[in-house]
Amino acid sequence: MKNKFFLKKDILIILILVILSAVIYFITASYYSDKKIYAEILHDKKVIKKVDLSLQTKFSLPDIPNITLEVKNNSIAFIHSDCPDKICVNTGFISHAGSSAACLPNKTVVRIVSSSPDDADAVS
Amino acid sequence: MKQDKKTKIITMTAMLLSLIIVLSIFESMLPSFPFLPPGVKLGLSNTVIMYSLFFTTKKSAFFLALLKSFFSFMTIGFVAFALSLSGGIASILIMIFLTAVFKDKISLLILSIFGAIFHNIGQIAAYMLLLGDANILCYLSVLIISGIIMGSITGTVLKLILPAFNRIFTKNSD
Repeated sequence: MKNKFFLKKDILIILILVILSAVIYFITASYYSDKKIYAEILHDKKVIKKVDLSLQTKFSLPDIPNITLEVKNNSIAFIHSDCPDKICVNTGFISHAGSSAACLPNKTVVRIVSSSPDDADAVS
Repeated sequence: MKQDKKTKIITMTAMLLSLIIVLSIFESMLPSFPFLPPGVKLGLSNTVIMYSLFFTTKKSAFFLALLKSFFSFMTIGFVAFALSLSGGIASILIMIFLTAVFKDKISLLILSIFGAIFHNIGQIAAYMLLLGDANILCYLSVLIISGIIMGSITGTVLKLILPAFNRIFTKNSD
């Protein structure tokens, strides 16, 4: 093995890789923004409700009465919870596929999922 | 003489495997990196696989990757085994390919970076195959960036420990 550890052109190669990853990021981001996203509410590891994010509502669920969620502008947030740490409320509104907010004391997770709600059962 | 060389390679592979296992235990104790998604790891064991690829035989590098994933099968489970194996094989293949094409015109640093990136890509492929979840493609750009960072770190580590490796493994070699 007589390869050098570092060559000057390495900087260029790394730069190209960084640009490539930025391009991939923007392509995937625009691809997923075309897709419909919706929110899944999980309680005790089970999906108990799927929420269309184009609505504009505030609601609580019978399984978890001590939590209030709000949906607006294609995003969802915990706006009230009886838990002591309020991490879920402080997470704020989430709107990107893959992001989630959780309230561990109430065993509740809200996560954003892309693809249509109809074929969602195959995923979960 | 030929027998001697074979014995040497076998013992070396065994020692390198134990090194990989120690490194992966050490790595699991490190806290996860801030700003990077959970699951992004340093991949220190890649250092050892790179060493074995460049300074012993290709066969023993593949063998190390297989044994390493077998270790995660025993300690974690089948999914970890599949992810580790596909990542390891993809990483070795790209490094062999790049050295075959560019000979000594390519630096260790770039080899290490590509090894790390393809380790990630191999793992994504296995993940998609096993779980049928294509959403993970979103992570590809993150994984390229983390591959650059982690590949640079592991490449530098290899560069630093290379003299020590050579001292151990070339002593009494003839």
